[in-house]
Amino acid sequence: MNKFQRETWITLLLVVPAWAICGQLPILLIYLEGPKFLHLFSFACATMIGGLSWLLLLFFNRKLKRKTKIEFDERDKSILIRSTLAAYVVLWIYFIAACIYVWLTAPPDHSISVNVMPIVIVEGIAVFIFVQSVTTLIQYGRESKDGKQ
Amino acid sequence: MGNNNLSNQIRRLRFENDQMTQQELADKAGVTRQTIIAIESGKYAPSLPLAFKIAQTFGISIEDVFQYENEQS
Repeated sequence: MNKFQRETWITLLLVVPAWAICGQLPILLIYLEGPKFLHLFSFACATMIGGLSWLLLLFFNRKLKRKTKIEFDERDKSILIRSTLAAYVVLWIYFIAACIYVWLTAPPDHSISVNVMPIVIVEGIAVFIFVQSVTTLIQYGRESKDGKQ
Repeated sequence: MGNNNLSNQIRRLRFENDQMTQQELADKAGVTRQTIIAIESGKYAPSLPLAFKIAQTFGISIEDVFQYENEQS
């Protein structure tokens, strides 16, 4: 198991559940206390970092590659790109399903809470990271027949 | 990711080169050991630059390391 695989397991087991729960904290605070600057700013920062974490991963791995021994190479990169593509497809299906769900469950006056949109975004990021992690591990699993020497 | 038409002689070449380990080859080619394992077992087709690096590590041409069999021929 290489470093990227270990990171993916950590993401799947810790980051996804933590994000799915804690990512909604700013939304809860905005719901309870109103849209204060600090709450809005923390929501914006959290969603930016959560949504673009895969880009940060690519950037930092490139930086690390220059300093330490090779832990992320072209095969890992191709696996990451493929899993990101799969996660992107599932994310769109999730957004379409979320829209249809909101339309179907909206009250007769067609009004919905303004909190629905941020919740959909936060959970969308959780879905994205989850699918990306699972597809990454599946791809590594296919090639896990480990040879010695 | 793999390519059924692509075969390689990496395993044989490693043993012919003072029983070079997968880790040693990986370090020389600038990839992880897992990638060398995947290439050796035909589950991953390397990029052209990596294929050249592997061939250069053994000091032979790329055709002596990798062979492509065309299904039509």
